[in-house]
Amino acid sequence: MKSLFVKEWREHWLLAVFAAILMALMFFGTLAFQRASSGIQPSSWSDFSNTAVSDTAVSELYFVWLLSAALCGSYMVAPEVGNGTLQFLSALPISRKAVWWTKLASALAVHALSMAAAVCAYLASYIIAMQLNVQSYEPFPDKQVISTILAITLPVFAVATVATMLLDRVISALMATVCFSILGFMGVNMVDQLTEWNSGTFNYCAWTLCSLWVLSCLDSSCRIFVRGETLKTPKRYVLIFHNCSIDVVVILASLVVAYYWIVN
Amino acid sequence: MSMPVPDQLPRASSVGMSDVVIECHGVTKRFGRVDALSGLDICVPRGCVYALLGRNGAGKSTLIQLLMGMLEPTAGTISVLGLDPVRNDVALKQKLGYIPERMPMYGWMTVGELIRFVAGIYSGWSADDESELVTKFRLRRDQKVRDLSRGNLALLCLVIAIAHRPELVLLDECTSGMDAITRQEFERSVIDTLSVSGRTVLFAGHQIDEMERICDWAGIVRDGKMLLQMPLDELKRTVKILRLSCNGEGADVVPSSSRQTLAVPGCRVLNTRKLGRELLATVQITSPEIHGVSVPKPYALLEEIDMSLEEIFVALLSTEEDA
Repeated sequence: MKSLFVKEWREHWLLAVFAAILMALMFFGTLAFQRASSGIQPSSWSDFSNTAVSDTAVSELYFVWLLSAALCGSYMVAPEVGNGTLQFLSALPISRKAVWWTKLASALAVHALSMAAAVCAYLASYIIAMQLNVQSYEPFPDKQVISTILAITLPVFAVATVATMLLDRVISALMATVCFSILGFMGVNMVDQLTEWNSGTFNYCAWTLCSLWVLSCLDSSCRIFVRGETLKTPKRYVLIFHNCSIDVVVILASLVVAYYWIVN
Repeated sequence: MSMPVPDQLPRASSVGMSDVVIECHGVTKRFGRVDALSGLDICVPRGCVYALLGRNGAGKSTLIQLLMGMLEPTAGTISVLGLDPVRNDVALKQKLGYIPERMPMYGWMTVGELIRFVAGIYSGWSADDESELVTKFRLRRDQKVRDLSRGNLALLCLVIAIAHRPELVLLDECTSGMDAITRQEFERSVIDTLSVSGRTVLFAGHQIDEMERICDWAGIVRDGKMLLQMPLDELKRTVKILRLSCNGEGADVVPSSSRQTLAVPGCRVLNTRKLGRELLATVQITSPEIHGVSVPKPYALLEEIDMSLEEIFVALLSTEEDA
């Protein structure tokens, strides 16, 4: 398992570097944009003076976290299916379940590193901005928002681990994850606006849904990987359909129970 | 018209369970609406080099992937080295070596790194065999896998497939796409390495001439079914070309190509070809008790001509397709 984990790590650790570079670029890109929108084109570092590090930069950090979750999940299996190395891996005497767990552990580790790298890049950029006398706000909002964003990365990651089993290309899996996640957040927001639940009930149901969603997706991902043969046969679609039907019933039942438990 | 396959299959009960390495009965594999295999039977004795022949899409690669446990059969039973490839895949793969037609490997690794990665996974990896093979095949450990030529990549696959001393090696059209020189070098390496060691080898491919030199058993797959399987010597003894002369009464009605007009007792006429006043008939002896071919009048047997494996393969398959 160790050699497999090392192999996975060596294949994907660059995602963390990508996250850090993307964060730094977005940070200074935002500063440049804000400066330009005020009518002055920045031509040197000192031109950033009097530009504010707004909440936009913080939102970009969250965006990088979510993107990292989607990327790390999508990179779990899709590249190996696409370039055929999964066949090589399948011919080796390792159980499919062990391979899946190793890939999951490695993807989570790379995701954690990417998030840390993005934070480091953000803070470094922030400190540089301070040196340039850029006006600043608080670097981070309150802890509750951060923990919520951190928690949201898990369902996104979980969706990506399913998408990576069903689509042979990373970009397809990434796009599918992003679209599905946006639809999911829109759905949750819609429920929030349409229902007259108080915030406590809504939060409880949302967190229950979130946790069950993560477990359900990881379970589907594991089943497809273990029983999906070469992951190029139609069997994987049969498996996801079968698993989803069971999961939807379990999730809805759990939500109903959670709702009535809170109301009563 | 199909051949009486079940009678030709060596059963585990007849050869002894320990003497059979692969035994499949009624194996069916369906992909959506397509049957890649439909009720295939195969029995591979221990220690033989088995040529699995068939046209493209006949189901050879699907069968090998089923034997590896990479695919699950839709129906039927599979036993490889006495193990179920789906339930005991890890234990089985420790005893198997596998070289597919295209083995995409981690191109960013060096040869040494890839071997170390694989060595960490096999419990019975032999460092001595590994270094001997790497030296023999002149592979450079510091070279990136993506920079290897097609031939060297196949040799690296061979190192990975046999350095853990497997009992059974599965070669799936691994010489396709190689140029003639590389193919010959690779086959020489396979022969040197595998034939001498007494391992069982299942060799699927289209290079029938080369396979004939290596193999001692042959099985022909057609449309997902085993058309025929037997020892190569026996196959060559039972399928022959008869050179017949046609004299006397009826000499003017020598058939040109219709096998229905020629009936040879105890034989199945696969095809006929007219050459002047002679007739070349490809026949398969179907009755094992027959030792000499007797042809009906007005024909007279001039000569029995042995056929190569490739000629037998073409004759059998073209007859089946005509039928």
